[in-house]
Amino acid sequence: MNDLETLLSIEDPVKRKALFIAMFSREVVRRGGKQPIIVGGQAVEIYTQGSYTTGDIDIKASREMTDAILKAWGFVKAGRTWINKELDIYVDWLGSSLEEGEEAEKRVSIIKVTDQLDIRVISIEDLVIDRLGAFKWWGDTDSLLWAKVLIGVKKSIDRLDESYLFERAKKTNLLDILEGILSSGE
Amino acid sequence: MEIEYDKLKKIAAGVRTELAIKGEIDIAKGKIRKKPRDKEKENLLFTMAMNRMTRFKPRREGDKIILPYFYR
Repeated sequence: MNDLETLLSIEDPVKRKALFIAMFSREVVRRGGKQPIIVGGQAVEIYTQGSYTTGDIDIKASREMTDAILKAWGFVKAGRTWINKELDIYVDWLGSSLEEGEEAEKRVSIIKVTDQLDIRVISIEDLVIDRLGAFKWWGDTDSLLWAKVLIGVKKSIDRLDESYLFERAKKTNLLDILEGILSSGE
Repeated sequence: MEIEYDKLKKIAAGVRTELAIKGEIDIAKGKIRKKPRDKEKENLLFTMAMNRMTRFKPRREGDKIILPYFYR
């Protein structure tokens, strides 16, 4: 069974997208590129293991490689989004590196999807800041809830890096919101 | 009228793709929820997410994370 057939055989879109990202990441690395980083809603979907779902895959990767690989895999481009009707997968290319900077790049999580495949995802702490920003600046009310869930996920894996969270919250003017959710005790 | 779920799913995906290609919908947009959820619903969503995490408990393996829901 080839990669595309494997993906088509997965009914659950959450699992299908995760495996697709892993296959895409492997292909980028195979071609000599830097492993892509998953951000935004797709990162929340991965960390919450599908409790939160999103429509598209937000990705940071080399533009040239993303374009070349997805075109070769039968995707069509609409604006900055690559679409594959058969797979029902939508890839939103958001740049080649994290806007959060080098420190955030060093902190990305590596998530093992199979014994041979893994994916890189923005760290939970950086994603919490992203969600708090969405709540405060865009008025996305659900983002606060998902920030709380992400904190719960991180605490279940290992230690939540509160000092880094506070440092980032201070720089992004989100200290009030962060203090609010950390003191809510959930 | 009886519609098979799988058939409906395929049709919905097809329509979504066609509209996205034509530029009539932006898949990346529309993710912002302005309407606040009531507290009970919000608590339910939080509980559901936490329950899923308990059922599929994430773990660390060296420098990598395993999320059992995805791991094949």
